[in-house]
Amino acid sequence: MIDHSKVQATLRFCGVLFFLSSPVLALGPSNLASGPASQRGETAPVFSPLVIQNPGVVEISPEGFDRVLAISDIH
Amino acid sequence: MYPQLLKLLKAAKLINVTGNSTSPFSWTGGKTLLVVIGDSIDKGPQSIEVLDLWMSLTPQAEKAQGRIVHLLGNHEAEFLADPAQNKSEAFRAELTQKGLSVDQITQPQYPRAQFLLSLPIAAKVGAWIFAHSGFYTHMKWTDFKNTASIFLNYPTLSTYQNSFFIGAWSILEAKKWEIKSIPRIGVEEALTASRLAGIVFGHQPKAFGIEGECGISSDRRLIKIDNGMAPEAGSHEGSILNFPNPSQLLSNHLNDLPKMTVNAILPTGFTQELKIEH
Repeated sequence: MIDHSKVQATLRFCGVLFFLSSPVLALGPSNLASGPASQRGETAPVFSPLVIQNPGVVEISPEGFDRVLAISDIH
Repeated sequence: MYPQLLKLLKAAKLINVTGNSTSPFSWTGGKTLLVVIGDSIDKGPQSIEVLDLWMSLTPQAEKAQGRIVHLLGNHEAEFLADPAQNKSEAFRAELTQKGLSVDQITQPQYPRAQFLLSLPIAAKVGAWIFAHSGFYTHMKWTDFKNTASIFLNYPTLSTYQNSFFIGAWSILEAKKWEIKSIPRIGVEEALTASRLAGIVFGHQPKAFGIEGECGISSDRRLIKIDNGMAPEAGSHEGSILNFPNPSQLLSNHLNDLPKMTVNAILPTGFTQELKIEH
């Protein structure tokens, strides 16, 4: 007899392992900054995953902004 | 150049000095959208300070319902594509002088690298495209957006070696397209095909024969904002392009272009009309 509850538990365990090992999770922005920069031996500001600008292009409506400014080639 | 940048941001009422060593500047721009059209690194001696400033101000702007959108320039893309290349010699020297490794700018476990690897290739604000070289052609916007998304969803350094990013006719690197009739017509036709009004671009400090300030094409569809702030381009004081009536950017009707208000904010805080191409 197949013990269905054990099969389901095994599948769930494998699913968790697969999720934890997926490249999406490994590379995802929320996993990139682990702890304050100072703990990683540098002083750069921590770049919040909340403001990650990817992917590719940004589309924004100008409505709601008081003004739109642009600058480039600061070097 | 970092000191000139600070002067401009203060003149545009975007930052205040806090005196706090961990966050020396605070965003005072409120609901301002600031688009940085690339090339924050290389050439000058304080690229790290420039990067750190954008990284610090970006979340502050969001909290204030404003936004900073920093786009890729060819110098960011070329450095990521090949950090050992000749063009980045000054930047590598700066890293060495500041005790930083190339890995700290290119490997995604480090915050500055996260920032660079997160940069979009272009922005669409209403009916206007913002992109470093401005050479937008061949593709409708939806196709361009999808292509950029495929490349930049989870980029690696080799991503930036593609001709979509670097190369003589890329949207980050093409030069003098605005003075040659065929590529310029191609760009304007691509805009029209995607129901877009115009392009704001940098990369060429002498575009339209205008040096040291912002300029606009005679048909008002193309705006160049590389003011030549880099040492080799004359270390000009620079200016910030200003659309004081953002809703005007929504229109893709060419008849509306002459009515659009656009000027440049100078380091003095005064505004100046854009010079029209020769």
